[in-house]
Amino acid sequence: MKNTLNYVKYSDIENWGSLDIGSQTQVAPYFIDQKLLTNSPTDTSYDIIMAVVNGACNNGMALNIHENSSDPLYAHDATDAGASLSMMFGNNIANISNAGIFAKSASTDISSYYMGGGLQNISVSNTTATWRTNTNMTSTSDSASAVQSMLLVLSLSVGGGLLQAPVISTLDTATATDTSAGSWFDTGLTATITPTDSTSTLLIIGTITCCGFSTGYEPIFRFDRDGSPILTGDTAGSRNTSTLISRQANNALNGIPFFYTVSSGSTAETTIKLQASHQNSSTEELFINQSRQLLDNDRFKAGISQLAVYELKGVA
Amino acid sequence: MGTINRLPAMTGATDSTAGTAGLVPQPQAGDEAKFLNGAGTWAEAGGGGGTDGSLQAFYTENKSDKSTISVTKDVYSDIPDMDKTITPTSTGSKFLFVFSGSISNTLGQLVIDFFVDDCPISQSFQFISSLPDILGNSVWAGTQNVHCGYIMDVYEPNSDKEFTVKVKVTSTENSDVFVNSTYADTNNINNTRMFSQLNILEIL
Repeated sequence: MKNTLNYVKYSDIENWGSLDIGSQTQVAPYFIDQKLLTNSPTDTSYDIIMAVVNGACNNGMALNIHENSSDPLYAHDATDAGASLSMMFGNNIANISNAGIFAKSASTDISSYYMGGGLQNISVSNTTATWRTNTNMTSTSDSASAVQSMLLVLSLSVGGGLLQAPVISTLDTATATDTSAGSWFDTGLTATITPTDSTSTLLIIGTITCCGFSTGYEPIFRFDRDGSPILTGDTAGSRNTSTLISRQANNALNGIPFFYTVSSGSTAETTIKLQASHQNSSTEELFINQSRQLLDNDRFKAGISQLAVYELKGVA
Repeated sequence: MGTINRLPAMTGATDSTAGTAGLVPQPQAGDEAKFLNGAGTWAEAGGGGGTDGSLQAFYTENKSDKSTISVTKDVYSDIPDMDKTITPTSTGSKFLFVFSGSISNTLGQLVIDFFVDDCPISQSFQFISSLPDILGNSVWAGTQNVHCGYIMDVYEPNSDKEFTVKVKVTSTENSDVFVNSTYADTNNINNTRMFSQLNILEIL
C-alpha cells in the first residue's frame, strides 16, 4: 500500500530540431531527454501521469506521453482518416504552454515515461517545423530560460489513501456534433462510482481533446453530476457558465487537461459526465478527438480523451 | 477468590486530551496491514503518520467568481482565494500543488507560479498560456479567448513549520488579468464565466 510521487523538472532550453515537413509522409516523434522512472508497487496501484510542457513550435505540434519507449499511451488510429494519433495538445505558432494528464493502471515492472511529439495541422506556408522547449521561438532573453516543464507520476494504492479502484472513461473515437446555442451535449466521457465514504474526496482528472468550427466561438465544457452542473463559474446575466473553455477554434486540435476535486457527499452511486457547448449564438459544430478538417494524411492527428474519477480519503 | 484486576481497554487521545494505557483494540479481519494510531483505532498504513508513502492530507480551494487583477510587468500579484496555509504532518512530506485555472489578459504573456511564504518555490515558472503570442500576431483571433489548463509543482519543505502557498500571476507587459472570465466579458452568450481550483496533496 505504498504511494509514490516521482517527478522531474527541467528548465533547459532544448531545440528538438528542425524538420523538413515538405518531404515527410510520417512525422517521427521527438523525445525530450528527460525521462521519469517509477517503481511499480506489487499491490494494486494506479498511476496519474501529469505533464506541463512549455514549448513553442512554428507549426502545429501534438505531444504524447510514451511508456517504456513504446507507442504513446492510449494511442489509437483514426477510423475515418489516415491520421495517426495524438493525445495531448495541438500547439500553435510561437505560443508557449502545454499540459496533459492521464490515468492508468500501474505496470508490474519498472516503467519509464517520455514526452514525445509529432506534427499536426501543418501550415502549408511553412516547409519546416521547429520545436523548442522552455522558450518561445524568438526570444533569447534571460527570462525565457526560466520557464519550467515538468513530468510527474503519482501512484496511488488502494488502502494508502485511495479508497477503491478508479473509474476510467476513455473516448477514442472522433465525433462531430451540431449544437444549438446554449445547449449542452454529453461528450461520452462518463464515470459512475459508488463512494465508500461520504466524507471522501472525488478527484476528477483527464483530458478533453476538441476543436471548434468558428474562431471566436470556442467550445466550452462543464462537469455534470447526476443531472446538475458542478465546478462551474458563477451565473452572470446571459453569459455561459462552464468549467473549461477551449482555446482557439477553427481547425486547431486542442487538448485541455483537467484536475478538479469534489466531495463525495454520500455513499450513493453517482455519475460524473463531461458535457460540451460553445459560445456562438447560432448553431455550431463541435469536434471531439479531431480537428475540424480531419484530412486523410499524416499531418492531421486524431486525438483521444479521458475522464477518470478517484475516490481519496477525505483527509483535508 | 480475590478480585482479578483486569487491564482496562486503551482509550485514544484526542487533539485536547491524552489517552490512557490499556489493552489495544482487537484487530479484525482485513486489518492485517493497518497500524494502531494514537486515537486508538486501526488505521490504514500511513494514515496516522506512517512512513510508507501515504496520502497524508488533501486541501482544496475553489474559485467560482470573477477577478480582475491589474498587474505590473514582471511583478507578481496574488490570485484571490487561491492560497492555503498548511502545517506539514511530517518533515519528510512532499506537497503536490495543482492550480487548474481559467485566465485571460489584455497584453503580454501570462506567467503563473506557486509561491511559498511569498517566495517562488522553483527557479523557473510555468505558463498557462500566452496572449497574444510573442510575435504579436493575431493567432488568437477571437476576442474572447481564455486559457484553461493547469500548472503544477512539487514542494519539499523538509520542515514541519507552517507555510502559506499562493498562486500568483504576472504578465510580460503591464496588463489586466481576468480570472474565470473572458476579457471582453460582455453580457451575452458569446462570453463565459468559468471555474478555478487549487488542490494540494501531501504525501509522506
